[in-house]
Amino acid sequence: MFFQTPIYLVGLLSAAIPLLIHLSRSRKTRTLRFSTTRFLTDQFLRSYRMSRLKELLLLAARMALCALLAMTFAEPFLQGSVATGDPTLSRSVVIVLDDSASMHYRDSDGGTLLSRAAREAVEIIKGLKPSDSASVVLAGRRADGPLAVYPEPTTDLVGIENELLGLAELSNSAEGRPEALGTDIPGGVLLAERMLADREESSHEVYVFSDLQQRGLAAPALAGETEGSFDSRVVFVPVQPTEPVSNLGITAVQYGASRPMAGIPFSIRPHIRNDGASPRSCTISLHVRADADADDADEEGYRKVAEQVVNDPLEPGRWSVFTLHHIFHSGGWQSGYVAVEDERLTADNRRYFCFEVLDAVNVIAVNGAPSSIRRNDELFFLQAALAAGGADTNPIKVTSVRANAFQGASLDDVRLVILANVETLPEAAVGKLERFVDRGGSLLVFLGDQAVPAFYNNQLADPSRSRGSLLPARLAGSGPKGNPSAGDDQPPVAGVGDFAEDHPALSGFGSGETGRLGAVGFSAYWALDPTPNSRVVMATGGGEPLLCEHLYGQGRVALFASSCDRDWSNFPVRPAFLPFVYRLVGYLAQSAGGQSAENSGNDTAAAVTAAGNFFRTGQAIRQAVPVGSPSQRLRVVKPDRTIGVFESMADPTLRQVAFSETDQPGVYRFDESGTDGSSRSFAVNLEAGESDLTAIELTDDLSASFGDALPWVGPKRLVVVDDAATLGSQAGVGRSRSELWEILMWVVLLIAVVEPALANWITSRHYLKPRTDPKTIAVPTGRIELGGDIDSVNSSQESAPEPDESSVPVSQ
Amino acid sequence: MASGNPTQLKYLDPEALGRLKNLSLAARLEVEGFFAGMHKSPHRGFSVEFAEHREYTPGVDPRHIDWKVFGRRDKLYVKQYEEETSLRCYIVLDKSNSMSYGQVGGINKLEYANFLAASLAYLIAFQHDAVGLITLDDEVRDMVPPRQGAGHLRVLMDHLEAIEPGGETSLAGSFHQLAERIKRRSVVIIISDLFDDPDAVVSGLKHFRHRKHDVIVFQTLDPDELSFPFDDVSRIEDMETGRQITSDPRAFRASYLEELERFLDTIREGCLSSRIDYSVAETGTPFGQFLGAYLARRHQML
Repeated sequence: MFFQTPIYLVGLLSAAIPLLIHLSRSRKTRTLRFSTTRFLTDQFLRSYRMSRLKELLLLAARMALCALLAMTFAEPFLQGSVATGDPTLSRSVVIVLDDSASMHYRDSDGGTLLSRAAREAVEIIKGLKPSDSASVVLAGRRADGPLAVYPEPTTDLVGIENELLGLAELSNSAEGRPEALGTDIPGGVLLAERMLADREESSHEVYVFSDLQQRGLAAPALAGETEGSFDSRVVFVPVQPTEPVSNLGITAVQYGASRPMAGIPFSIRPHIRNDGASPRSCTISLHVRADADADDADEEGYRKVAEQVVNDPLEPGRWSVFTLHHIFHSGGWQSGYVAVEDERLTADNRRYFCFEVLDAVNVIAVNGAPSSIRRNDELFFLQAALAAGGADTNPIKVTSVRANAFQGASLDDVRLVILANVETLPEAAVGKLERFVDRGGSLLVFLGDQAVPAFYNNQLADPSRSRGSLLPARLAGSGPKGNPSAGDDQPPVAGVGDFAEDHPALSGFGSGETGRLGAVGFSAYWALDPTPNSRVVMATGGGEPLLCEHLYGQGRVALFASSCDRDWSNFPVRPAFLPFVYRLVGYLAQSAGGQSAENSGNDTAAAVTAAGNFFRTGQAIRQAVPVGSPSQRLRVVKPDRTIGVFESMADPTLRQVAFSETDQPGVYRFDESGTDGSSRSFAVNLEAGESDLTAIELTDDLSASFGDALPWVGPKRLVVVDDAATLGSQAGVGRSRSELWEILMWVVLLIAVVEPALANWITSRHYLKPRTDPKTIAVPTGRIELGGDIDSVNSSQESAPEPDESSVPVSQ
Repeated sequence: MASGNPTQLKYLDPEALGRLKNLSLAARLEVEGFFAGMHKSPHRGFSVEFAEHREYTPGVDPRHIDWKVFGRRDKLYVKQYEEETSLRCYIVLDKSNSMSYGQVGGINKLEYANFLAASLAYLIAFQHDAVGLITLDDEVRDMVPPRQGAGHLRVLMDHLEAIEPGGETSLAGSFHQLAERIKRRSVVIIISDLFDDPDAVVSGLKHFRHRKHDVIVFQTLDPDELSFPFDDVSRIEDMETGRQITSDPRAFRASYLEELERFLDTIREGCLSSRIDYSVAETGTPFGQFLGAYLARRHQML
């Protein structure tokens, strides 16, 4: 027997109340030695023994009354296994199909797991009688929860069969379904159980067809559901590859920046994982959106711009990171994807991205050593390098200000501030710099002969400031190392030693394709003492830091140990200077961690761009609607070129709009045009866990296997059909449910009616009740009327007994 | 009550006796006595008090011819006189186990019966009548023949004090046995709870009557036996038979009282039909009060 609300079973304790009353009224055994028992007849003793039995019956009735009442409140029901062949059994069945991306894995026969599951499910539907009902739930992780193909179980069994067969066919087709979802088995089972909860049918059955991925069932449990809430029988049907799995997938991608710079190499680093059983070599490719009239575009409008063939096989269960570079030649919203070639499971082969590429950035350069002679000006070589492409087409617009004018300069639309050999800055200017970097701007500092170590160390590199040290290193020593006044005609005291070849500003220098740094010599430089979190990107041959970098807030700060003119080095006149400066400035001008909504000035799209424009499939995307502005119905062009809409939330006080149609991986474009003609976009990709087809380990203790995912499904209701081929026979076990509370209520009412009658009957039949007029026994005594002889005395006793009798009250 | 005092015997309550001393126990029917006393003898003779005339037959002393009657009737009659004789009284005491029942802290039935017997014996002795004592349970146990005199009274008291309860009540057989053993017409005072088959008891009593004895029955009962007031016992043991009954007295009471009433009715009706003086002596009533009331009634009745 099961109980809907077992908490009421506490009331069973009330059954002890009649027992306690009975025991308290029962006398202790006390023996009375009495003159005679001749008046206690055997007939009466039999009657008395019967009364004891009846008393016990009455006690049992009272205890039963209390206990049954408690049980009635607990809503008991019976459920048992009933053969589905039983014609009297009515069944309601919900098929839960895991339609996550992993179920699109093509098995050795070419068919997908999903199509096999759907066909097996059809067999269950075929086993139902016309009066039975069924429904289908697709348990992919969707923004709105699992999808019920039929909101309620229906008797349209033919329709359900067609639905399942159509699903199988579509999954098997070359195009497949556009969706690629995560797994939400708990949500699917819960939805199915809720659908069945109030069904009239006596047998409630849930069949779950899934590959039982570990990741899919490790989902956090849904709150609020406890064991006993439902009564369905939950049958898991594992649908797994028949042969060892072969799968390569991209589980993650690292991007060089959230807002790349046009013309600056942009690094894309996909993580390739081999989830198969054997070593695999692979081919990785990078695709970006092609122009509308491009010939080499694929069906989605992307063209391949880079490819890398990895011949070194990737071992099973291992992952590796590869780096691809791309230079966006124009600004605006750019999108693309990185792909790995794999046939079995294609859903995890692509990772889409989209960025707003900056095609022009404003840079403010604070000149610490201006000179009327141009080539002696501190910024002469820097500006010349950045303006190499020509003043009109140059994407980097440098504005030069003097140190004392920096405080009044506007930093709006400025991506980078360069301090070139600045002596000191007022405190207010330091705070302005900190706020600028904190909100996503970047700072590049060149030192030189003007630099005052006290200012740099005590203000710019003071770790005790509210957000810590702004600079990535402190200036060591009281003065620069080397010979500051030597000029570039003297032999240098240091050259460039190690540098980080994977750094975007320095990529290409290792192979020499962008110039060589070996020819660079420094006659003087400041010794740097890097802060703990900073990275030394370039060092001297002696290992002393030349270029340090760290993150500060949402921005980035780089510190160069020498000057940017020819005073302390020959770097500005070396070929490597131009690409170095261009890439370093471009790299820093890219947004490090994205731009904050506060600073973007762009209302609705702010959250998308700021929080990262990457989402997973089935994830609801919410955006705040600024106070005072009306809710906007943002239209979104989905990857399949259909239109979706950001809808207002049900709760108007939230002032949010949400977009939940994110079932397809790809790039979603807002249906609007920016000033540059490109549309804002966001990318949606499959969650990484779907690549791993490892199934959960099924043990005898099913509740341990499924317990974390399905805590409300007790082990009694859980069945796993080991072999899908035996489903036909094992599915023949239905779950019948019989409500008992109504019967119990009738029994309780019956007992409640019978109990007083029974009690009265026993009392009246077996016990002498107290009487208001005590019964008397005629007892002749010596107090007899005077006169007469014995005959007259005795006759007088007989004829008129009252005056001569002593009244013996008969008391209870 | 006297106890241990040689001048006061245990079952002679001076207070009770003082209340009774002006009353005499009178035999309702003629009894034979050894002494010419205040009781009429069934043996008619030629004494002081005229009884009747009888036709003269030869051989009778002519001195007793009533010549006045001869003058009126012309027939010879002789006068007969009633002879006053002393009372022969047997006190029959039931000492069976059931008689040992008494309320806690109260007097038991046997003690009450002893008080009654002692008081009666004293009174009878005080009238110069002969009194004897018979104790019985399922058979006659002890028998002290009736005698006159204070010395005999002392003997009786000793016997009374020596009585120990024991044995079952099987009165009917004892009564029949006793009725046969008492040859001369006597007053038989039976003090017992009569807990036996009521029809058999009545039969035994009738046997006494058949032998022309004057029978007085004091049925001694405890108030508990008349009301069955128990509420807090769960097992009842019969003092005579040892029979044990586990039950709830509340459940018993009605049935018990019904049975008891039927029993008492049978006894009373049997006594009534045989002209036996029957009284219930409830031990809750002080025995002096009971005896005084009884003797007063008895005296008025004669």
